[in-house]
Amino acid sequence: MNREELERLYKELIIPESKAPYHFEKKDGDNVLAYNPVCGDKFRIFTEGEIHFHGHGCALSKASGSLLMRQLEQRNAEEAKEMIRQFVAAVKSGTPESLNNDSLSTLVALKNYDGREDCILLTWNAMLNYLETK
Amino acid sequence: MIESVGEKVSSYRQFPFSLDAGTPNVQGVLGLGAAVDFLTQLDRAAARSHVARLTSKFAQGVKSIAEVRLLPFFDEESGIVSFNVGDIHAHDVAGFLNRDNIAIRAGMHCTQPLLDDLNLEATARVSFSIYNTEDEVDRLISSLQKLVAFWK
Repeated sequence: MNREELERLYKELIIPESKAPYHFEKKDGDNVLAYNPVCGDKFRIFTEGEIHFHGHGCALSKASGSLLMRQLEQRNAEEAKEMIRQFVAAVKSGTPESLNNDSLSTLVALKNYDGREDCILLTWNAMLNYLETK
Repeated sequence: MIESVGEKVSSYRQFPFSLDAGTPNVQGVLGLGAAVDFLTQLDRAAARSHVARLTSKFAQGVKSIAEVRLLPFFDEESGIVSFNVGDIHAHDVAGFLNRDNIAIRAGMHCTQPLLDDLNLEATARVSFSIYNTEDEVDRLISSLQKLVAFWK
C-alpha cells in the first residue's frame, strides 16, 4: 500500500465512518471501558439493550468501534465472541482475505500498512474481554 | 562501583564512586559538553528572536485556515504552540503531517487535568527551535491546508 492507497481508504471508509459513527451515543446503565492510556483514546461501550458506544479517539479507533457496533447487531453473545475472535486473529496475522467483509478487511489492510493494531482493536478487545468474563 | 569482589565479602569504592554502576555514560557526558559549547557560542538574543519570529509567522499564517484553533495562551519566545484542527483528532493531524515529513507532538502532553479543565481530549503541538526555518513554517501551514481539504 502506498500513500495514495492509504488516503483512498481513509476517504472511502475511515473518515465517513468516524464522522458519523454507528450507534454513537452515551447511554445509562452497564458499560465497558475501552481505554488506551498510551495515547488517551477512550470509549465506553453500553451493553444494556441495543448496544452503543461513545467516547473519543483517532479516526481509526472510532471508525473501528463503529464497525464493531454494526457487527454486533443481530448477534447473540456466543456469535459475537466468535466474530470478534475471528477479526482479532485476522488483524494479528495480517490476513484480510480471511474475513468475508470489505470494511473489516480494510481495517486489516490498514494495520498491515502502518501497524496501528492498538487503534483498530481497542473497542474489539474490550468487548471480547467483557463477553468472556461476564 | 566495586573495589574488589571476594567469595563472601566485596568492597566498594569510596562514596560517591560507590554509586556509579557499570560503565560511566561517557558519550552522554561528552554530548552534554558539546551541547553546552554549542549553546554558549550562540547569540542568545538572536536565537530567541528567531524562534519568536517563526512562532509569530505560524500563528499569523494559520489565521487563514478557519478550522485551526490555537490554544490562546502561548509565549512566542517559547516556540511552543498547541492547536486543534476542526473535529480532526490530534493524532490524525500528527499522522497526516508525518506523511509530509513534519514531526509534531499530539496527545495530552502529560497535562490531563489541564485538558479536562479546558474540555479538550487532546491537542496537536508544534515546537519551533533554532534549527527550524521560515520555509518549514510555510510547509507546515501548507500541509495543514491540505489536511483540512482532505478531511472534508
